[in-house]
This record gives sequence, C-alpha cells and structure tokens, in this order.
Amino acid sequence: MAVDLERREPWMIRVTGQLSEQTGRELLSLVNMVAQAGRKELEIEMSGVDSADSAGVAFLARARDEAGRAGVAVNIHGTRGAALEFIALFEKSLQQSHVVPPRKAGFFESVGEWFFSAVLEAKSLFNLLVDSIYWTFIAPFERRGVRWATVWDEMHQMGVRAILIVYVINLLLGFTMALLASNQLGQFGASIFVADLVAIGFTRELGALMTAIIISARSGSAITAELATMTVQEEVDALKSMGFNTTQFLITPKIIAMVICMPALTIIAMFAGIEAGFLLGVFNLGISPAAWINRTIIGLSASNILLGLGKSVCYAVVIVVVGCHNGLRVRGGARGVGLATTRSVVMDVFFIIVVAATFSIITG
Amino acid sequence: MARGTHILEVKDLVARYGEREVLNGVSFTVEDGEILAVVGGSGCGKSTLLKHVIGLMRPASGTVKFWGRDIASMNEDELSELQARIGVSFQSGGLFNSMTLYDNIALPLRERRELSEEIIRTIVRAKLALVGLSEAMYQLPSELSGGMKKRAGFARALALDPEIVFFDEPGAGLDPITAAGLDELILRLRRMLGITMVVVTHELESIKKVADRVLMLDRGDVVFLGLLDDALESAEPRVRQFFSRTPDETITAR
Repeated sequence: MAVDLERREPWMIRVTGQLSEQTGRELLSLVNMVAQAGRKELEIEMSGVDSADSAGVAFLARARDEAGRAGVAVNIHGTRGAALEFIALFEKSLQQSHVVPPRKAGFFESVGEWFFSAVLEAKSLFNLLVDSIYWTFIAPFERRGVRWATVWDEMHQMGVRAILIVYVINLLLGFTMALLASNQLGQFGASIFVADLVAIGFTRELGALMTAIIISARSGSAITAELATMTVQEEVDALKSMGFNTTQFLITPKIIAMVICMPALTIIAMFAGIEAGFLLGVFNLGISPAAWINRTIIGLSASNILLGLGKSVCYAVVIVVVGCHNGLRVRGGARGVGLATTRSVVMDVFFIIVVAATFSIITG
Repeated sequence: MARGTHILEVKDLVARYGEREVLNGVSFTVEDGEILAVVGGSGCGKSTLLKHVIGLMRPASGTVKFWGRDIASMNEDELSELQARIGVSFQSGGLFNSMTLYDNIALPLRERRELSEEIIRTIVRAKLALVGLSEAMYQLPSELSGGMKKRAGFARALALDPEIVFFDEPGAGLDPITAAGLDELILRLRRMLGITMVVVTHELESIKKVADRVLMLDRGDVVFLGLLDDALESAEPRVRQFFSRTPDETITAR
C-alpha cells in the first residue's frame, strides 16, 4: 500500500495496494504539492490498485478537482478490477448530482417569516378555539352526540388521578404563604389576619392558578403528546377519512372532562391552602382554632370563590385547546412530538398567566 | 482464531419471547459474496432472526459468529466495531426524522471516521446517487415517499462500506415497479461492490430475482436451506406451498 511520486515527464503518481482513507490522504497532499510546483500535467497510475473504499475514492475525486482548479491536467489510468468499478461508480454518480444546499434565509426574511407564521398560528389557534367551543357547548344540545365513555375515562385520567398532587402542592404553597405573611403581619401584631389573607388568596387567585399550572404540566403535555403521536402515525387522517370531525371526536371529550375536573380540583386546592394556613396558625402562631376559623369565614366570600372557579374553567379550556393545537400541527417524527410537547406547556403557562391578568384587570 | 470461508455462521440459535419459543435451533452460514434470502410466512421468526444476528438481541442459546468470532463473547467496543462492518437496512428505513437525508447518511461517517466535511460530502453524494436520490439530498425523511425512504435506508446502510448488508423486507409495502427497482439495485450493488447480502423477505418475485440461496423458516424451524433452484423444485410440502402460493387450509376453510 503506497503512493509514490515519480518526477519524470510528465510527473506521475503511482498508487498501489488499497485505495483507502490513508492512501487517499497521501494522494491528495501529493497532488496539491504537484499543483504548487506549477506543473501543468500529472498522471496518476492506478494499475497497482487492487481494491478501494469510499473514502479513498472520495479523496481521489477531490484531488482531481483541486488539481483541475489549480490548472493541472490530471490523467488517471490503469484502473482495473473491483477498484475500477468502484471508481467508475463514484465518478458517474458525482457527475449526476449537482444539488445545491438550500439557501439560508436572511435577517429580514426570517423576521418576516416569523411574523407571518405567528399570525397564521394565532389564526389557527383561534379557529380551533371557536370550533371547540361550538362542538363542546353548542353541538351536544343539537343532538350531535358526545362520547361519554371517553369523557368518563378522561375525567379519571386528568381529574381523579391528579387529586393527590394538587392537594399536596397547594398544602405546601399554603404553608409557604402563611409563613411569609405571618412574618410580616406579626411585626404589627396582626398575625390573625393571615387567616383572611390565605382564605382570600386561595379562593380568588392561587387555588385556580396553581391547579392550572400543575394540570398543564401533567395533562396538557399528555394531550399534546397523544395527539401529536396520533397525527404522526396518520391516525388523525384515518379518523377524518371515516368522516369523523376531529374536534368532536378528540377534543370535545377532553374539554368536557377538563371543564368538570378543573373546578373540582380547584376546590380541593382552595381547601388545601386554607387548611395549611389553619395548621400553621394554630400550631405555629398559637392562635386559637375558633378565632382562626372565625377570621377565615370572614375572609371567604361567595364572589371570590365563584371568581376562582370561573377562572379555573377558562384555564381548563386553555389547557385543552393549546394542547390539542400543538398536537395537531406537529411536523416530523419523534423529535417533532417532543418539540410540540415542550411548546404546549410553555404556551399553557403563558396563556394561563394572561387569563389571570385579564381577570384581575376586569374585576379590579 | 481461524478464519472460516464464510462471513457469518449461525448455529443452533434459540430465541424466546418470554415463554414462547420463536426460533428453535436455527443453523446456517452465509458465504462471501452471495445473496441469501431468508423467507417464510408472516410470524415465522424472520425478523427475530435478523435482530439476533445483528446483535440487537441476545440469543437464549446457540451462537452467532461473524468472521469466525462469536458475538456473544465480544465486549461493547468489539461489538460496535463489528457493527461498523455490517450494514442494516430497516423495514421502514430507520431514518432519523429530524435530519435531512444528507445528515442521515453523513452521521455514521462523522461519528466513525475522521474525515473532513468535504470528503464526507463527496461520499454522501455518491451514495445517494447510487440509490438515485441525489435530488432529495437536503430533504427530510417525512417529505419522501415510502420507496424513497427505503432507498435512503439502503444508502445509509452502505455509508461505511460494509462487507455484509442485511435488508429487512426491502419490497414490503411498495408498488411492484419500485419493488422491482429495489431488487435491481440490490443486484447492482453486489455486482459493483461485491457486498455479501442477506435479504429478509416474503416476496416471491423478489426471491426469484435476487437470491442465490434460500433459507426458509416455518414456525421457528429451518424447513429449507439450499440453492434457489432446488427450493423451487423442492418436494417438502411447506416449501412447495410457499413457492406455489397455495393458501393454507385454515385460511381458505373459513
């Protein structure tokens, strides 16, 4: 296995043995040297080559190209046997393929593309929202049917199985909040008002918000992953081809289940938060249970509780619609599913906060 | 260790899924430069056999030897080195959906060899041209038809100049014209590159066209191993039934 340069007229490179990655490299550097020496003609003698591999031949092709660019006429001769076929195969295929890599978009082009895709996405999200609301809240009353068995199953998956985590997290959040507030209010001897604060905070804002965030991470991601996988595997197309409306078939049961479960979970969350406040007040701050409960009841108001529950219904719709939206517009395979799921949870949190802020502004 | 004349030797291979025995003692060899067709009806253990041979699954008992070396005795590095000499083209292509065809084929070259990107590009272009996919170089697998995916899978299997290539169901799910094109491609690759091939298939036409020898499996047993011509003439009932496309009693009786 060797590559030798003979300085006769014209200069000649003799390759013997296997034309492999290593010999290919040597060949390339020799050819470059010949080009630098200012020769106009070069012969490559291949009769000693008995086999070749892809890398070797690729180096040979490259050596010839570079030499050609430097103005050296290269003559390859003597190829035979398997090596000849291999080289011929490469030569032929390289001549055929002149595909330019796709051009990268410029700055303004990408800004524009980003803008238009954002507008289009907003449009499709809005369409899906309207469609979902029709199929969930109007169509059933036009006797168009709901798949109750699926609703039941989804309620179990998304609601019942989330009870423990919702309870525990809100309990911990309740402790945190009560402790934080008692440190401050305690300085004014107003620890007892922590009871009001916790009661108002959890009924009006935190119960619903915390539950929504837990559920978006737990079920929003699951919804997207499920629908994205179904889309990738053409299950959604199959449904359409059988004449099913995908919104009615896939999304409505989830929305109904979520709209029922979210307020229920939110009530558990409110209870957990208030319970945590009570435990902290009684055992840590040493306030009598009766006094604490009394203040809590003063803090509770029907309007706050209804506001919290109302928000939770909106969060429920947001989580399902955003989850389905991302699931149905997935592109590509496994990686696409992952990206869609990530996107879904991020969008969930964003829209949940937007909804919460909107409520706060409206209700003052 | 002495090198045998055959590339691959499988001896008394037994495979189980849980309690169920899928392969009960399969033995065969693959000679240098031949095309062996592994055939049999659905669920006969063809794909399981393939997975065991290429080292994706460990046999319950029996040996698989490449170039005289038992893969069960190899450590991770040795197995990985061996797998670089073996090309596998998977049933549905096995392409990475998030990468362009170019990157799919460049991946083994980048990871396994230390080559400059320009050399890699030359190799990838040649491999894609070989399977007639030059135009699709920068497309994603999801933008390709089934036949194109399969050809791209071939190209990737050939990326590292393997000495033996396994094709899992090259023609499955393709129209007859594309399937015939793939058979043609297999023959051309062998002619040009001298690669040994094992083709797992149940397509009769394809077997008749490409195979030198045939290994027929039925419910985990080897019912035939020999030259294609002998298989076509065989008196063994299961073999005759397969090659004459006679339906099973159990299916027609219904």
